[in-house]
Amino acid sequence: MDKILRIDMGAEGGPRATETKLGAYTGLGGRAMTSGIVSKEVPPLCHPLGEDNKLVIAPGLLGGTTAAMSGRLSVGCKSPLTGGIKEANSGGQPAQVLARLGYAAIVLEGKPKDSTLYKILINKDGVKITPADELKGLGNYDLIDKMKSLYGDKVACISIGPAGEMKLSAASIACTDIEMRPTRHAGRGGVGAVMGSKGVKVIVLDDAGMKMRSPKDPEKFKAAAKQFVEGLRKHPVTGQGLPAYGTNVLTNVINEAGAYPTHNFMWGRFEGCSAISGETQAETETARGGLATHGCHRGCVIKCSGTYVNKDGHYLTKQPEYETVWAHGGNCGISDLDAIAMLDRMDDDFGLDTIEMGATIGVAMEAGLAKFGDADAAINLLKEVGNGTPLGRILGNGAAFTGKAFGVERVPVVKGQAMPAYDPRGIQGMGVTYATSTMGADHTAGYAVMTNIFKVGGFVDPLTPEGQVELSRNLQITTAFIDSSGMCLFIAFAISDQPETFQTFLDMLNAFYGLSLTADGVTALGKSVLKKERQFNLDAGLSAEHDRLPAFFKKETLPPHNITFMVKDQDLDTVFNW
Amino acid sequence: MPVQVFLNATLRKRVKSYDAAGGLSISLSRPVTVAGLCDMLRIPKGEIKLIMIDGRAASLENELKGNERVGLFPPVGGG
Ligand code: SF4
Repeated sequence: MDKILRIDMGAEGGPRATETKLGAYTGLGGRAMTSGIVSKEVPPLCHPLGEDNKLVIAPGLLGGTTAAMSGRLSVGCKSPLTGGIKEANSGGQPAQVLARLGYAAIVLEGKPKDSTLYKILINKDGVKITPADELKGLGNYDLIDKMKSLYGDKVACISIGPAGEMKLSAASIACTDIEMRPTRHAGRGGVGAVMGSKGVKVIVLDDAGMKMRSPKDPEKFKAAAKQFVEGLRKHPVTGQGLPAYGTNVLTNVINEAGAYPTHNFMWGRFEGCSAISGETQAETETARGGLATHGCHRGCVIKCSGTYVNKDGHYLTKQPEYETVWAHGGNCGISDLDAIAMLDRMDDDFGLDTIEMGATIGVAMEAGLAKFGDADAAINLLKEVGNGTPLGRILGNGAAFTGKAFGVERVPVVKGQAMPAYDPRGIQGMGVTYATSTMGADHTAGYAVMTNIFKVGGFVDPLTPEGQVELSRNLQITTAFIDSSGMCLFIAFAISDQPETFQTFLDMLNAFYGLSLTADGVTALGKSVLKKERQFNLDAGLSAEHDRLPAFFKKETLPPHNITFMVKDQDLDTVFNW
Repeated sequence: MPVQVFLNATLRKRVKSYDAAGGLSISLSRPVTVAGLCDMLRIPKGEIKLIMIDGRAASLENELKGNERVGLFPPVGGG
């Protein structure tokens, strides 16, 4: 991982690939790499779909190694959805393969001269970029089937569906999973639209003939990696809860806490939640012959995912995540797991962010385009997006755009990006993260639910404003570091509760790179990433006024606790004062 | 008025034919702590990590008078 692959899609005579040394980006990975390159090379005021924006794809520091959980991929650019910097994170196979091919990043730059769509193949022999107009308009599933027939099923793909080609702001970038299905997505912020604007349909990565990356100190690394796995197995959440029920175990938890956004953030509890809970989902999957415990990439030992099959036992989609089940489920008053799984499948196929689309359909329902609870209507609305009808293009540009188009006031977004599955009135720490994250409303950026609800890493009462700023600040710093390591964020449960597991995480990094990183070093690295991202956003015109929740969260009370969002504006402005 | 008790994840296996949609309805003749409730239901207290009474974080020592909604959870996480 000692080189960067740059592909100028606008070069004279057609796209041109060059390899550069890491230079100033040495020692960076994942989010630190994507945000490092974007903040240095992309003019903050550029048009997100124009020639000056760059799409950066980077494995984390531990990508391509034998370390468990190290297969997360960071995708960065200036976001067409938020207008600020973006790092969207995905599981799946590509990060490991890309790292083993020796690349610390792929950078797509420039603007294509015409509307030709390209395919990029990267293997041990180098890079091949070929026109591939025959792939135009294909959904991710058909596209990946084609790639499989051309290159076999041992490769990994990074691709866009029709939504990305249409440059819609809710477009995602798909990554193939262990079965080579396009089920893992760098979902948020419209990264798929940026890939579409570069004229790239798919990147095929083939690491045949390449080796695992080797550590500086193999013995120490091996020992630390082993202990790390033991630490994950030992913790009840990473060892038992997540494998058994997946993330959707949260439906009942967040609903019980009264923070489950229902009917476009009207209420904090959903009467139909038992039918779509993780418990019901796992039972359904097992009874039909699907899988309730499955990893999104090789080397994952937590295995929070699964396989969702339809009533006839045929594969429909991967196990929909809690966020997806909420967005397309409770948020739209829908309590039909099969319909939600179908929506998940369609999102993956069209290449759309499930959170943004669920929130958008919620807003559309509020506008009267469909009735809350009407699953068929939701499916039809999503079809409009896939088909690129004028209505579909409005919806495909996200909740904020749709709210504007239809004159809706209750639109749950920050910096134009839709809020995920936690009402900030019921979990106030999440509100601080939504408001202040450099990413727009993003739960993963500083997952306060951990401490507000799960009592991991201590406890801060979710229903009061006290302590939330500090909680969110610390989480945002640590998360920026984890996102740079290439590790799945779910290691946070174990490393927050078990100091020895945190230490083995550092030991792995230190043994691999010959470093002597300490907890302070982690904090410093996390801060440096956030600092670059904040500066980019400021220069792009996002200031303190954008670090706010929509006004209705301060005005409308949320049942059952009947409270508003109470953290003061001036306190939000202190999140990044450290 | 009875206490409405919702069991989640692995805790459901502790009560035969648990009805997930409706939960359990437990009538109390006198106030009882959450710990006492767990004993009544034969749920090992060590398996419980999160307790919510009417949607608020609570502990084993909290007292139930009747009419409350109680949620019990093993260690959970996700995101
Ligand atoms: S825990 Fe889940 S999200 Fe994380 S790497 Fe494993 S399957 Fe993927």
